[in-house]
Amino acid sequence: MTAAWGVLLFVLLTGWSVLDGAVQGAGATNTRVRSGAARRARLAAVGPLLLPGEVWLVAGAGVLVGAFPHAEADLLRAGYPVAVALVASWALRDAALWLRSRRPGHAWRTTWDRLLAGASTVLPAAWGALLGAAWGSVLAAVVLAAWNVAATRLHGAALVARRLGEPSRIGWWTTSALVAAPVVATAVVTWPHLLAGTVGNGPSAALGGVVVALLPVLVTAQWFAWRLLIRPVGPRDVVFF
Amino acid sequence: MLPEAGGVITVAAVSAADLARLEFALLAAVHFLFVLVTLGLGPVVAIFGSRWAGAERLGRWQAPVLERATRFWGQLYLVNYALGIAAGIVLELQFGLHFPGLLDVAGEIFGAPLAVETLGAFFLESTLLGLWVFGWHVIPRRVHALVFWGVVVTGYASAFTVMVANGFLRNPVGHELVDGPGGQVATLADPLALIFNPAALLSGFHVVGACLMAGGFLLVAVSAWHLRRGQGSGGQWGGPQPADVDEDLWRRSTRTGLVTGTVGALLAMGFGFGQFAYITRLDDPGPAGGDVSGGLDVVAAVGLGLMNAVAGTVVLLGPVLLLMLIGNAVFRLPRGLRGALQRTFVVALPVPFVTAISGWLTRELSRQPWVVSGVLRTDEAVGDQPAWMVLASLLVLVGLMVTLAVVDWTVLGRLARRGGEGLVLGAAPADVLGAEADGEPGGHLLRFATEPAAPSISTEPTTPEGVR
Repeated sequence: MTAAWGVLLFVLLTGWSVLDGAVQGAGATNTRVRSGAARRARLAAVGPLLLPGEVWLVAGAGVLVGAFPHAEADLLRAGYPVAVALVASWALRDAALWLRSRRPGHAWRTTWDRLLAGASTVLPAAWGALLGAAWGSVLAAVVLAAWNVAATRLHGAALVARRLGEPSRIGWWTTSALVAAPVVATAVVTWPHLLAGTVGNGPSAALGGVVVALLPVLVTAQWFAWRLLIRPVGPRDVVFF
Repeated sequence: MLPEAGGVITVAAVSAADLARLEFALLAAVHFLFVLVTLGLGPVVAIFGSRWAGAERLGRWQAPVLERATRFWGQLYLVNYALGIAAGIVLELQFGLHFPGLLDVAGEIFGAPLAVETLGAFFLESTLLGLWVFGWHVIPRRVHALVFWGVVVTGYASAFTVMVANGFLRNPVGHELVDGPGGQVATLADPLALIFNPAALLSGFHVVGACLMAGGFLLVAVSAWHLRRGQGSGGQWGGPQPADVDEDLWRRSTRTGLVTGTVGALLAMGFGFGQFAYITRLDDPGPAGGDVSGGLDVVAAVGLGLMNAVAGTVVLLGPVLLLMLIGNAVFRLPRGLRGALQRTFVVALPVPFVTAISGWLTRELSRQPWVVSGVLRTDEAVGDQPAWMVLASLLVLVGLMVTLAVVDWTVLGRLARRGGEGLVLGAAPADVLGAEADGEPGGHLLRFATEPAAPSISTEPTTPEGVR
């Protein structure tokens, strides 16, 4: 029962890394193109991934609080500064995406583009470092942070290329595996510690029942979202960001 | 139960706890301001969207104005929602970051509703909202309207689960204290008691009322600003029937706002008084401590006085204004009186927000010094970070969130003043990218134009300023 919660947790964290990693990568590299229209087209390519993607980490945090509160308390005690950097860069990344195109003007948009690139680099780095903190090793934190920054950039470029119909050196399945790798490795390394960090008699059956009842609805909603939104962009797409 | 340590350590521990509380309070206040608009505006956007879908299907003349209303209020909803999520994420982390004792002692109970919130309600809400925004031209119109109702329902469910968690802190029910390795731990004994806790249910409806009232004030204030400005330029506004689609939009929005504002005030007032059923019972000094409300009577008195005054005024004036909707009287008052009324509506915009924050402060402060009433004291729940570290996180996170919030409100203000022209939500991609002044949009446009665009999506004329 507790193991099932652990699997759910790491499925959610892997999902977030893959989905949101593409948004992070596209945001981090968006200043490489010059024209405003090109930047907006690239953001439009990953835009639909933002809302249904970032909820995976929120849900993962919910599972951590609900099923493994002691593990969460331990993790945040060890990784306090990285966790602060993670949520701060996340908030800034979101604000930059939502606000950059809401006003005209070169200065407004360039400022937000730079903030987006900065926050989209700090976010995967902080995520890697937090995973490293779960390993209990500074070296792991540094390596995973660097790995995540590089992997999300490749992943963002691959996904933008797919949606805009451009050629890409690396396929998006490969880059998905690259961004997922640190989470999967963390699952293996931290598994015993995680299971020890559950509540007294394991997660409550009532909570499990609610989650089992909800899962089909969640899977259906997400399946529709991806079916509709992940295809090469066309005239029926929406340019919002 | 502070350790019997030297003065320096005790002072440091106390100030770390105070800083953690201050950080939580400030972040929660920022988050709450966004939640008020999300929950208050949600049903309004859903109703406009459904009526647009119906009008379009039946070929009614109202379809264009209802489309404009859906897109205008939907766009404000989105730009507000964006920061609401960000603030919520930052807030959620605070429990683990600064109050690990709360998770250690009451994690099983306090964590369960939060897990349901993030894994169920919020997960669905955000997924459906993504479908609504980015599936605008793909999903059939009626299904699209239904998707937004899903956003509203899950948003309210989300708020309710948060109230279950908060209600447990205020009125801990449905739990059993058992001895664990590190001291007493609360385990879930009765999930139904937790859910039907009056501190969750009654207070939940009270908060819903406050949100609807805030949404109503927002609708009325923005509409009044436009109606006041419009009558000066054209001179034809203010007749028995709306002169054009814009005046129609602002009149409809005013009507909707007056209804939701009045209903919200009634709910907030009714369930606000209803809460005293359990509050007075709780404030009997029990065996656990007699200083439950010590020293905070001033905040409570000011908060309660403000809430009473605001809700009472809205409950009295709302029905009068609703009656004045008959024959569009409220839009056809003599010019001077009409201008004064519209000015009042605009100026009153902050009232529900200030009131809601004061209500939340009253509730949370009156629980102190407990984080879980009678079970766990706040100073026992705080982590062992040094004060400087908590102060650093306070400066980073609160500084960032307050800055972003102010920028977001500025953008919302500009979008609100801009009105129903050139809305990016629901615009055709060609209109959006075509309006980009610099660079070579042609090549990028081609990607979005491999087949002819549906006729219904390119009706909005692009303004010279562009679409945003």
